[in-house]
Amino acid sequence: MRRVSFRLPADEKEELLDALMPLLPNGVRERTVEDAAIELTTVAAAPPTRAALETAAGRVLAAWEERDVPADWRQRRARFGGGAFLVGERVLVRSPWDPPAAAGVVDLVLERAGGGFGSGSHATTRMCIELLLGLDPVGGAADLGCGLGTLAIAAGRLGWGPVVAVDRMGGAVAAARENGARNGVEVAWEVLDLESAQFPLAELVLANAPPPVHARVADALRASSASARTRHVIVSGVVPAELDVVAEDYAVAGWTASASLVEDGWAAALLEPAGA
Amino acid sequence: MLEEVLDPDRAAAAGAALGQLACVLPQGGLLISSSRLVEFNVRATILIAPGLFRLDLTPQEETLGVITRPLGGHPVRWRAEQTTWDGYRDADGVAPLELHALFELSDGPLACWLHILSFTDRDAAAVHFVAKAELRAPPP
Repeated sequence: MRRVSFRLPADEKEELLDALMPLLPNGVRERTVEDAAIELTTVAAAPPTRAALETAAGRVLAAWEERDVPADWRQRRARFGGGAFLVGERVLVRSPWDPPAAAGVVDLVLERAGGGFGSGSHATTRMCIELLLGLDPVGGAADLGCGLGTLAIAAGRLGWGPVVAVDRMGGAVAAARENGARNGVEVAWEVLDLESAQFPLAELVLANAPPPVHARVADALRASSASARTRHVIVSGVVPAELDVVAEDYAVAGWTASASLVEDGWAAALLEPAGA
Repeated sequence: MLEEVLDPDRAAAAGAALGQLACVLPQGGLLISSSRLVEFNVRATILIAPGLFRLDLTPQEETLGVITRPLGGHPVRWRAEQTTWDGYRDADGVAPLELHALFELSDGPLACWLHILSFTDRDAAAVHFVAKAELRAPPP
């Protein structure tokens, strides 16, 4: 297999792709390399020649590189990455096949299995971690709807403890348990249906889940208000319009948003007790 | 303009490197179809309707990037069939994603129905896509 890479000015990328994409059936990976430049990479057994692509683009393609690479995607990932997500410059969420994080960056290694969610490819996972990065650890964390365990493991790595995590999918919890061990984080994992069963709360509640789950979490917070050990709730798994509705449920329970994020059409919020 | 964008020879030529097929629909209009195997986090062109749009998809493990890149200056309105939004993530089987568009060409409107099937092969870290676009005059 041949790997070809070159750079385009960011502000001309889409117009140039109009000319190049019809010639690149295997597609391109895009990577911002400088503020004003995008690196495009394609891998193919017989990629188009530089001359063919430059003729189509009507310009010289800068920083052209071409080399032989393994056909196996795992070997290519190990060399070039391509499946990792850096959040807030402080946490890297990656598969076991991607290169490790740079020094000083929390390296979360997650294998996706069991139908679980949380590889980092989805905006809701990244936004929850970004909101988590803004908090100082003040106790335990409960990841409600933990999927692959990404948020629970991130919380543990960032100093929260003890950590408990639940999900209704047994396969996901099994994968999460393995991911916890892989990352050296101790978490109490449990299979539990958040729409019907009692669930644990903690100083930090992480709920990257659909709206019905949030209604139940809000109810649980309201019921527990007398003991009130929960200090922060990070909410996602909803689109902005749904967040408005979900926020009303939490408001009834005495919680209000102190920060919110929107990415790729999804929303996340950090909730604090009203008046805190 | 309508005659030009509904020309199957033009559509097949535009997507030749992608193996794209094109033919006239039985009741008039144009059918474009194609299939592709795309690795995770790679943006690939799946269909090209010359003069109208290019469909690029970027499969990720838990989400799908969809770009309908306009290739002409015609006003267009796209809408996703909401009931199919989760088709890509449907673990129970192969479920379609559907989009509809209405192009306002100089010599009349043109409707597009876009149908995308996907199947994720996790061992290959890639997604198989089968897509087709039906372009025809909208019903009166």
